[in-house]
Amino acid sequence: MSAESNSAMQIFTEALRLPPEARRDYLDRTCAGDENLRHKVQALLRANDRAGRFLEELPSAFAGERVQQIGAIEKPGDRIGRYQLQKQIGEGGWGVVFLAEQKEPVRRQVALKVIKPGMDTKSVIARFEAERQALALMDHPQIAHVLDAGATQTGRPFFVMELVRGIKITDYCDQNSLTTRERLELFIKVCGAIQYAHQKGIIHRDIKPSNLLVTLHDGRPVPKVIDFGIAKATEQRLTNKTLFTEFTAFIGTPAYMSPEQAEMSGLDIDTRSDIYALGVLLYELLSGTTPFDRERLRTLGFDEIRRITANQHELLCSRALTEGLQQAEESLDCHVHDGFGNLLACRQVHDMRHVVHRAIDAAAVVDASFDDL
Amino acid sequence: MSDATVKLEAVERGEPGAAEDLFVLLYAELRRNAAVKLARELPGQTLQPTALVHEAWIRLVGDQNPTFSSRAHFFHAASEAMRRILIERARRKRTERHGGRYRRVDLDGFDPAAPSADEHLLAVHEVLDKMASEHPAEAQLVKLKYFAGMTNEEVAEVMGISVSTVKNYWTFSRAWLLNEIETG
Repeated sequence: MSAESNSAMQIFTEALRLPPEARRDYLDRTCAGDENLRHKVQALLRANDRAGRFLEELPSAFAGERVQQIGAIEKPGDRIGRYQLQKQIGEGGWGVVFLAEQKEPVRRQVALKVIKPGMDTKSVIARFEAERQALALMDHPQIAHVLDAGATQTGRPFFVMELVRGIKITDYCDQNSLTTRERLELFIKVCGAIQYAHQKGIIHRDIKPSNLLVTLHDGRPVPKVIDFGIAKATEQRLTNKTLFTEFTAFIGTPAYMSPEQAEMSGLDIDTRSDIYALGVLLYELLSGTTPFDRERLRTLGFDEIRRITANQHELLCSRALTEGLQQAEESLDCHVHDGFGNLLACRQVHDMRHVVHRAIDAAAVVDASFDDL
Repeated sequence: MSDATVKLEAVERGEPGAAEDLFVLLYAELRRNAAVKLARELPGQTLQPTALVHEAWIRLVGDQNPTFSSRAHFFHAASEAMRRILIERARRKRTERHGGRYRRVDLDGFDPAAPSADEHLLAVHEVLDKMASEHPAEAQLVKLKYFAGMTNEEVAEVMGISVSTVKNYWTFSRAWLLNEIETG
């Protein structure tokens, strides 16, 4: 710090104490012979006159606006209630899934899903609680239980689920080179689980490969449906005050969205959306891709998606699916005399929902012939 | 003994890198706490930097009988950390306004006055280091008052000067900064 700086500060402060007309003389005295110093102080005095409220309003920085996240909040090692997070095992537009250890009343490992910020936690939890009773009444070997729900310290909703150590159904089929018949068998088992839930009045609303995990029991692949009850609880409602400009975060899974879901008319989604999603799943299992190209979907605007889904998707799906079934029958090397019969007979019908219903019927028949699990 | 106290003592002993360590610790703590509070999403919420800084003090040092100079080190480091957080945020907002990545915005909370507060923030930040080389005490005061939101009395205590000196420094600083921003 120079002596000059110091004096500039002192002269400035002193000058302000004097009435304006006395300042000039004061500067003459104190800055005699030092034009630099005088200029400095004069500039400062002028600035002071203009200062007004400058910097008087301190940065409140975080005012009136919702920030999504400043870095990750929950992380391995953290404790949420009686669960200790161990490691992250999944991530999506809706939030993050952790492997966690439940401490009490029993010690066991669970899957803990924390929903991203931006949701009205109270209503998410409320919607979940409304279904909780019904969910608790479900007891099916292919349905993973949701064990608990709550809010984290940071105010975000979380769900605790039975831990399913498996891989998603499409990956399982591909990695293990499952034959058409084996894929159909898996599919029928999934249908059986969904039908069971529907009979209890519970709709999944978000059936897609990542919610269908395949595990092995005695060497046999068993699909397990996860996330029952969560999609409904976390479903976003559109309000006219909110802008959604980040497409994928909002839309969820367009490839699996049924026409009535895409419409977002506010009408209650019923079991038909699940049936539709199952049809898309079957298509994917048989052909290795969804009826609509995922990449293409991502680049479309929301309105276009709605239009396509509502008008054409189902038609195209149905056509594609029944072609797939045609090929399936051709590749089957045995005479179909079990539950597949009616399913494959659908190939003439060109209605994917019809196909799925036949698969559900097949599940009832075929169930008896599979080992008890 | 808390992590922060250990680092504070290291700063006092003049250990190289100790100040940097302290800064990093406070930066992480303040940022995390801000995120926690923001996640609560209370309507109409304004989150004050000064609240975050004081909470960090209580949480990290609180009952550990810090010395006077420890306290000074803490608040200086905290105000620098707060400065960085505020600047990062202001820059990100500026990028977004100019067509960068979009985020979901709640129009109810939109405050058209906010941009100019951010502009001041960024402008002050840019000239503050220059000020510190010519007027270190005054610059330190700006950091404590403006970035950490401390009151005149609190600043006086941390810097070990009188309240009237604080006020003089503040008047001078505003004039200096305004002049530098407009003509520099």
